[in-house]
Formats: sequence, structure tokens, C-alpha cells
Amino acid sequence: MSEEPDRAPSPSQRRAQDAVRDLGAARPDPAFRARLREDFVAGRIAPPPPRLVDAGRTTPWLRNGLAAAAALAIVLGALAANRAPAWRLVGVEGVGDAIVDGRPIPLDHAAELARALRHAVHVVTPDSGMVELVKPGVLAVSIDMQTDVTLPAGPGRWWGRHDRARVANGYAFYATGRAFHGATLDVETPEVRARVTGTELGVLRDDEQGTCVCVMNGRVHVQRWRGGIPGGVDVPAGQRCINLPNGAQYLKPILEYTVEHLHHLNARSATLLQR
Amino acid sequence: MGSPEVSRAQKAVSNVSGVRGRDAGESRRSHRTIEPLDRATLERVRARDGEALGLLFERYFDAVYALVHRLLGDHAAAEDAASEVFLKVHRAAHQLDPGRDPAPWLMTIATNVCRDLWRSGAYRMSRRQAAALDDPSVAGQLTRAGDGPEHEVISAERERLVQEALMQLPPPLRTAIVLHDWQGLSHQEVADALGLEHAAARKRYSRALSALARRLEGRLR
Repeated sequence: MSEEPDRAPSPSQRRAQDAVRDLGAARPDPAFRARLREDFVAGRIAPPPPRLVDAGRTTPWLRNGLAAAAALAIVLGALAANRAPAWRLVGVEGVGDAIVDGRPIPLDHAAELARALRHAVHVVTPDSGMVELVKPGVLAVSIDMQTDVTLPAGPGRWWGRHDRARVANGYAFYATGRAFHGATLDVETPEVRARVTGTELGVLRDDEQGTCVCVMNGRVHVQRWRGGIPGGVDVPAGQRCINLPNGAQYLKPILEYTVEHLHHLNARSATLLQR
Repeated sequence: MGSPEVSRAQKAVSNVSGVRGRDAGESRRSHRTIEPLDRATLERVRARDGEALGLLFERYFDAVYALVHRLLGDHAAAEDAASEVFLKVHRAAHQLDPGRDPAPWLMTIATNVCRDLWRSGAYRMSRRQAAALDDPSVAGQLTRAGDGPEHEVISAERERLVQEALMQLPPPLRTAIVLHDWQGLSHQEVADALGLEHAAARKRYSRALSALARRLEGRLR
């Protein structure tokens, strides 16, 4: 080497040198060593997962705060990811105001109406107007004129696969899509609970006639809140279940009005439902 | 033969094998003296033969782990770094020069892995949380451990104090002093391992030693 020889270290530097030279060699955890060796030899060695180095030196409040924030982010992310897609407005006919969660919105204000129709809102259609909505891949709903309904939120993608809707009065028609498979939807009226597991049906309800559940495809189980056939009735395709206010419950062929309405809904929503 | 870069690295560091020249007066410790693997085994390592990889691991893992632990200061980080080192070794096995001791190559990879870690945001964030060196009144003056009933306690406390002082040094200075004084490399070997000129390596070491001595001033006798 051509440079000048090192200046002799001071006493304190010599002590520092000696101190470093005296440091021992850390021993690895035997289990970690064995695991890494096995992976290395087998060619399965993978990059270590990212983590905060020396996390033990972080203050507890920061560590706990970070952990809580990360957990919260994961939970919120999972909840958002699990949620069914938003409603999409695919058809509006007629005139007048729809009442969405108590707020009147003219049917010809489609953009405003679409924004207001969130997951499980309460909707009342006007005397001469109707609305059709689709949750892509999951569910289509047609709300006929003079109808009072609460929309289903839509079943979760992975959990919370049970959903509820309500028809207080009027006519509502439902068609399920591919992503509905494995989920259940209860459509409730003052008289019955209709459990849907993948089908096309209409729920027609008024105070004088009670509830009529019309099934075009699939099978729906109808259970009266009070009275009726013990254990409820399975309504097959092509039939309707009549549930009178006096407690009577019986089956008849499906109404042609329902069939036409469901065909119309299918035509509008089949692509979005991915059936 | 391996690539020029690998060959340079393999030439660079040698105390782990204990076979090359060194600066006068440097101490050598037997636990870091490793007999190199033979050429035939290294040829099989190049071909990623499982048995040869196992021999390489057995021969060098403890030294790699000890180095990254000394540079990083805790076991969790050392485990991550050691995993990363051997991942890189596996990926680059075909570049190994079977005519040379692989120890310098491994130690250069280990040093680079630690350097990459220091540059990461996660490491910087964690270091900001690191406690300052303990109150001198608590640490007291620690003598070099000798024989006697307090030997182990004093030795452990002295080691903790020195390691904490090392961890307070900027990583480049820490690396220089660990490679030179703890790993026992010559200045030229440190320079080769860190990709520096010889004079720069000496200067860096000199600064590191001064900084460390200041941090330990009055605490060691």
C-alpha cells in the first residue's frame, strides 16, 4: 500500500477497538436455522415477509396504534370488498316523484334518482311510474307503480349471504343472477316471508287481497307470519301462492301479468345479471 | 469461472476463511476461521446440487448470521437478512467461482443485504424509535470481563453497551468498524467488500473508530 501508515490510536480508541473485537457471535435460533437450511437445499427458499425491522424498539403506543390502524384498514377493506355491488338504475317509466328514504325525486331526474338508490333504501313509486334496478351479477328488481318497498342490500360476496327485502304494498318482481348462487333472500310482506334461493318471482301485495307470491322459475318457500299451512309452502315454478288476510293459503297457476313483467325485467337485465 | 464481480467479491473478504494477508497487529479469532469447501463441492453448488448446498449452508451460515446480527442489532432483523442472503446465494449460485473461497462472496452479499435494509423506509422508521444510549450513570463504567463471580454479568452488560454504541453509528461507519475490528478484515478487504478505494475505506474506518470511542468514552476501562 502506498498511503501513510495509520496514526496510532488513542487510548480511548484502543479501548473501543478491543471492545468490538471482544464482542461475541450471536447464535441463530436452531429451529429457524433448520427451516432455512431445508428450504435452501430444496430450492424453496423465499424472500422473508416484509416487517418493521427492530419492531421491539418501537414505543408500545406507536406499535399498538399501527397494529390497530392496520387491523381497522383490513376490516374496512374486507367489509368493502364483501359488499354486493351498488344498485344500477336500468329503467324508469312514467311520471311523478319516487320517494326515496322520504325524499321526493322526480322520475325524469335519472342521475339524482340513481345516486339516491343505495343499498337498502325505502322506495315508494308514484301512481303512474315504475323503476327497474340491477345489482350487476346478483339481483334485478322491478318496482311497479304505487308500490312501497325496501330494497335488499344484496348478499355479501363471501359472508353475510342472507339478505332481506320488504314489500309493504304494491308489486315487486325479482330475478337473481349468477353471483346470487348460494345466497338467500327473504322478501317479507305483512302476511308472509318468501324465502328465495335463486329464482324469478313476483310479490304482489295489497291490503284487500293479501300477498300473492308468483314463481316463474325455481322454487320459493312461503311461510305465513300467522296461520296458513304449518311449516309453510314450497311454491314450484309456474305456480302462485295466495295468502289472504283472513289466513287462507293456497296454490294456483301463475298470473300472466307476472310472467309478462318478469320477461320484461329479464330482457332489460339479463346481460347485467350474467345469466 | 464466475463473473468478474463475483471473483472480486470472493477475493475481497478473507478473515472468515483465515487464509489471507491482513494488516499488521490485527487480532484473529478462531470462531471466524472457516476451512473453505473444496473445488468439487463448489462446482456442485454451482449446479445447485442439494447435498452441496447443504454443505455450503453448514459451513457458512453461522458466520453470515453472526455478521448480519452484529450489523443489524437484533435477531428478528438478522433472520430476515440471513434468509435474504441465502435466497440471493441460491439465485446466483451459478456465478460462484469454484476456484476461490466463497466466504468473501457470502460476506459481501450479507453486507449488501444489510445496506439495502438500512435504505428501506421501514428500517429508518424503526431506528427513529430506537432508544438513545442508556444514561451513563446507569451504565456505569464497565471493565473488560475477567474471571470471577461477576464475570458473566459484566460481560453481557459490556457487550450490550458496545452493541448499542455501534447501533448509534451511521450504517456505513458501523459496517466499516464491524468488518475491520469484529470480522477482522484488512482495510483492503473492507474496501473490496464495500466497493471503495483503499484510502476511502481507511478514512471511513478512522472516522468510525473516533465516533465509537467518543460514544464509549468514560464507560469502558
